[in-house]
Amino acid sequence: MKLSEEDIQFINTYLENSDVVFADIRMEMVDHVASDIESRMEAGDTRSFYDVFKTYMVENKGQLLKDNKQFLKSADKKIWKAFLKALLSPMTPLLFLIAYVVFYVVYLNVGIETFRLIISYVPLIGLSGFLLTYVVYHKVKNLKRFSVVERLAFPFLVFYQLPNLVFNFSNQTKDLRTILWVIGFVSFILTIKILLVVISIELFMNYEKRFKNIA
Amino acid sequence: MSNSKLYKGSLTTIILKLLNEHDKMYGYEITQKVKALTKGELKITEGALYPALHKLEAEGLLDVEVAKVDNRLRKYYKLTETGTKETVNKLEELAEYIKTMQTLVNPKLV
Repeated sequence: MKLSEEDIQFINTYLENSDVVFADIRMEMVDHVASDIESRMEAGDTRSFYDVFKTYMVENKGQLLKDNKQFLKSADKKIWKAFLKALLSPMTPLLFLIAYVVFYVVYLNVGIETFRLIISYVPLIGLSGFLLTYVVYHKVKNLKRFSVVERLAFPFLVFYQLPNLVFNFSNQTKDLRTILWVIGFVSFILTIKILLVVISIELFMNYEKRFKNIA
Repeated sequence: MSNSKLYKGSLTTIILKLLNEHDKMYGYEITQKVKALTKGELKITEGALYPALHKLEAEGLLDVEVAKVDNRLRKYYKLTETGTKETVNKLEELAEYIKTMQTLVNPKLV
């Protein structure tokens, strides 16, 4: 016996209300719960769907939610793997070099105060890139909330806060050597931010492709 | 897994071996296959199976495919090329482990 669309929706809503917020994690849990309930009913359980569902949840809810936590760890692992791969790609030193040259030329042409103002916006540029990607896919393209994509917000925030520490530290200096280090650091941060935006887009595209035509 | 902690260390190998014998499988199918093969002796719980599958996927040993089946989405797992190679290694490791345990527990049989 196969469950109806309403029954599946009921399981989905129940799990969503139990804090399984990410669609990719919930999807697999819904299928598992539905398969088990169908199997019980096919084996001769004549009770209604709701009664069988209730029994299943009493027996297995703890195990299911345990999976939810573990999934997020795997999501983080996927992100760091993708990040490391991007970091080791030949594009990364090239991006860094371009950023370094651009910042150095800007510094030579605008003076130290304006230059400081410009570099203070660098962390915001990367964060905006992520937010823009997120809004386009989540709101415009109407993709659901996916774990790996949302976990990306964490490294974005880390690389948003980190530059502020260095900027505060080097704010008073006019020494050229220190400024060159600051340019290097800002170029590095910008490179990382660009890589993270590229990873976000790739992940969104991957999810879009995977869930295409089956939503 | 409800039966014994002894099985826990072999869960990854069990999953890889099953996927090596089937083109693709979904989570519930794996639990039922294991249950059937072991005549109910080994029951893999959701809390053990899915984290293991997700870990293998994150490590690049498994690939994922999503399909709509019976009013819902189903996530199928299949071995990647690396996964197929790793299955051979894991099975060799397990065979070696069983042999060693046999030597320790029942030396007369070896």
